Amino acid sequence: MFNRAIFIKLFVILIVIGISSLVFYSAVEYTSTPEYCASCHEMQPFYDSWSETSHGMKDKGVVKAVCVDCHLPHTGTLAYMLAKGKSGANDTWAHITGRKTDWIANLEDSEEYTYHTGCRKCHVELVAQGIPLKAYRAHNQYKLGETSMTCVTCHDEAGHGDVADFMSADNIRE
Amino acid sequence: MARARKLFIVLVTVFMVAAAFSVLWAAEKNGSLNLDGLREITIDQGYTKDAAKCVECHAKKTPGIVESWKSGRMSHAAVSCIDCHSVKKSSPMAGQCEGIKGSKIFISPMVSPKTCARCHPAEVEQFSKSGHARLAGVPVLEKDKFQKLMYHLEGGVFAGNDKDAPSVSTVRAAGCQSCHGGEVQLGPDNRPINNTWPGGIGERYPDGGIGNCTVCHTRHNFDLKEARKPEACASCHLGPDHPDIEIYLSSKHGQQFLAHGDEWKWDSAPGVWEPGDYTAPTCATCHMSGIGDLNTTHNINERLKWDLVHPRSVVRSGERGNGEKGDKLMRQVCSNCHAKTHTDVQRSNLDNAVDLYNFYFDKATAMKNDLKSKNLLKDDPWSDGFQELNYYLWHHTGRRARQGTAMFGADYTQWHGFFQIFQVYKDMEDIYDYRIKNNKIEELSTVMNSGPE
Ligand code: HEC
Ligand code: HEC
Ligand code: HEC
Ligand code: HEC
Ligand code: HEC
Ligand code: HEC
Ligand code: HEC
Ligand code: HEC
Repeated sequence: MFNRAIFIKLFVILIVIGISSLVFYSAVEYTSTPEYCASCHEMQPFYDSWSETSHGMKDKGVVKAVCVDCHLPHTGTLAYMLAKGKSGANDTWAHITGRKTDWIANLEDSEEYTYHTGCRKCHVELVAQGIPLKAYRAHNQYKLGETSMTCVTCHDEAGHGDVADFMSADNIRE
Repeated sequence: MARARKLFIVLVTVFMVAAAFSVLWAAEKNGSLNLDGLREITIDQGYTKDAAKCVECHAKKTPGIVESWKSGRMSHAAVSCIDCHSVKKSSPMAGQCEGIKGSKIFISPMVSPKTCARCHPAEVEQFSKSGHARLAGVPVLEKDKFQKLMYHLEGGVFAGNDKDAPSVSTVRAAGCQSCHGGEVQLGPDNRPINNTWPGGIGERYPDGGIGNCTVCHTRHNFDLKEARKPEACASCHLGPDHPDIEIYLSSKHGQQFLAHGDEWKWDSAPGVWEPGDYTAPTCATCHMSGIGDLNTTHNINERLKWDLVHPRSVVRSGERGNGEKGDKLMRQVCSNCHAKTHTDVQRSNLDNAVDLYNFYFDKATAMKNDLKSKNLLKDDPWSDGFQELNYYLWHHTGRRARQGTAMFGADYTQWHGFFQIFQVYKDMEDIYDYRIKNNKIEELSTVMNSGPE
């Protein structure tokens, strides 16, 4: 019953899937590094301001979170890939067409492009024993779903420090 | 054949393993990061050096503020000056006080609810949806007729006061804005100008925050107990046009507060401040606090059925609340201390008072419309006896009658309320009859300018 032709076809298909998924993976990998993001000059100030924060290299020179950890949703592979594709296509288009972006005005909507599911991948326990009372209040309301605010509403300097100040100072390299 | 099959199985397995590894590896790269550095975020109940400096110096420079702060609960939770007053350098409000000139820290004397939201997000969200937030600033900021009232009329511009004189803004800054709130305007040094700060319950800040929590939780001890007492509302909810504190104190509930309030337990945690801690409700109990199965809310519109403040009373909807739901919630408050028969009577009294008031108001409006169509109204309502009386009808006596009945201040339903409504109405009728009969407006206003009490 085992037809040789079918076998070869299956074999070829599997090889193709395998190779493409490897290629795909390494592409996803490659396009997930901060250096890749900063390869467009538009992203340079964000790279620079990020490196100075504790999620960058400020504490002990160790990177703790990269662009895709915060700026892509971590609710599942599909949502992740979709958002990655969408923002990637958007940014490429903006880069090619030279579209200008008002970064400072965009800060208003930071909750839309900074996903708390990303924060929660590392910061799992929000109301752990010994947490200071001042943090406990807000974390507990967040945990109980009593607020629609997310991590960055309060921790808006976690990723890039005072990024508005950074952008208005002489830090922008063209 | 068998060899091919074996090969196939091996290949598939290798693939599966490789795929699984690559997935795991990718997950590893993305997710489990090196958290070593994070240990430095110390679990520390004390103050940072920067935080301690503010307190130490201000204990000498502004001891009143520091003592008040020390007596509040937030100081025991290590929430200090820097937590509320420090802002980003890029903030439109950023400045530096004498003590921190030249440092990397920036502060502002203005503190909007956005700051409180960092630690009390639910309270701020509820508050923001209430009539105490955006809606409260609307009369002061967005309505032409009130701009005219504050500046042109009360500011004396109509009588010749220079319209650019600082004195023109007295009423806005020290009157309306102190209760309603205004909008902060900033000078070049990022400090407030034109007396637009401080402001009342709906103050609008340059950081986009709207509201002022300190009207009920006076700074700097931000007391829970204080907000539960009727005094917390009394600085605004008083006077001839909305005498809520007077109504309350003269009600059976207020009687008990005055007689026994100092024996009540005021500091129970929210959600467990229940009958037993007190015997009668305060403003907060009915409008805000958790009681029985009801949760605490900072949205004072949640438990209201009627709009008892605008010219014609309607069941609340849209931004002003949801009247049907409000009715149920308010009844639920009463049910903790009264049986249904009793509560039904009170709620029906309110519905009847609203009907009666609306009846007078509609009749008055019909007269007004008739006069208008016959050109028998003056353009300036404030020198037209009929229109002035119409104003007192709804804004003073009409509100007193409605709110008096809502909260059981019999004196306000009767003497300050419907007794005067019928009198004002009769006077309006007389003026109306005169104008229709003579087809002209009487020469002098017969109306006293302070309005009926
Ligand atoms: C829980 C938050 C909070 C803390 C902690 C706090 N403040 Fe304030 N402070 C406020 C708020 C709210 C206002 C009123 C701001 C407004 O109306 O915009 C205010 C107003 C002020 C003002 C201006 C009003 C005036 O009377 O001059 C000063 C000065 C001030 N605070 C100093 C301090 C000092 C010093 C400390 C530390 C001992 C401190 N604050 C701690 C919230 C806080
Ligand atoms: C070495 C003393 C000193 C230190 C340290 C200090 N301050 Fe002040 N601060 C002052 C003095 C003096 C004033 C002016 C008081 C006045 O206007 O009467 C002031 C004013 C203020 C005001 C009111 C500003 C205004 O425009 O009305 C705020 C708010 C304030 N300080 C907060 C802070 C905070 C927060 C810190 C800590 C980060 C701090 N201060 C540290 C001395 C100090
Ligand atoms: C850095 C976090 C933080 C900020 C910012 C903050 N609070 Fe608090 N607040 C707390 C904590 C923690 C408590 C609880 C203290 C306790 O339970 O002992 C508290 C308690 C309170 C209470 C209850 C006090 C009592 O007597 O039980 C009130 C009211 C309050 N805060 C109001 C405010 C207001 C208004 C602001 C903004 C001007 C504000 N808070 C800003 C952390 C904060
Ligand atoms: C003593 C505090 C206080 C002052 C001063 C004050 N108001 Fe009010 N005002 C209130 C309160 C409290 C209410 C809500 C009464 C209610 O809901 O029954 C209110 C209600 C209103 C309303 C109806 C609600 C709305 O937004 O449509 C308007 C309009 C209004 N005030 C305008 C003004 C104007 C204009 C001034 C100044 C010329 C002023 N008020 C001064 C406390 C004040
Ligand atoms: C109209 C008066 C009023 C205003 C304005 C107000 N509060 Fe309150 N607040 C109260 C009352 C009353 C309580 C007590 C509720 C209870 O009895 O459960 C309270 C309780 C609180 C508590 C204690 C909750 C807890 O779980 O310990 C916090 C925190 C608080 N308010 C924060 C705020 C903040 C932040 C603002 C500004 C956005 C604000 N409040 C504005 C009246 C007010
Ligand atoms: C600083 C002044 C101030 C204080 C204090 C204050 N209020 Fe008000 N309140 C207002 C103003 C102003 C309005 C009218 C808002 C508007 O213009 O719609 C209002 C409106 C209301 C309304 C009607 C809301 C609507 O949409 O019609 C209720 C109910 C109310 N307040 C209850 C309270 C209670 C209960 C307290 C005390 C725990 C309190 N208020 C404390 C100023 C205040
Ligand atoms: C026994 C409960 C109770 C107490 C205590 C109480 N209220 Fe009320 N309040 C009511 C009810 C009921 C209404 C009408 C609600 C409705 O429309 O169904 C009302 C209406 C109001 C309104 C009118 C809202 C509008 O429609 O414009 C204001 C303002 C108000 N209360 C403020 C206060 C203040 C301030 C205090 C304390 C001085 C207070 N209340 C005490 C139950 C209470
Ligand atoms: C914390 C308990 C408590 C709550 C909540 C409460 N009341 Fe009362 N009320 C009392 C007490 C106690 C009295 C005085 C004893 C009495 O007269 O029944 C009273 C008296 C009254 C009276 C005086 C009439 C009379 O029978 O002498 C009226 C009217 C009234 N309440 C209406 C209400 C309404 C309506 C609500 C809800 C909006 C309400 N109360 C909520 C405790 C409460």
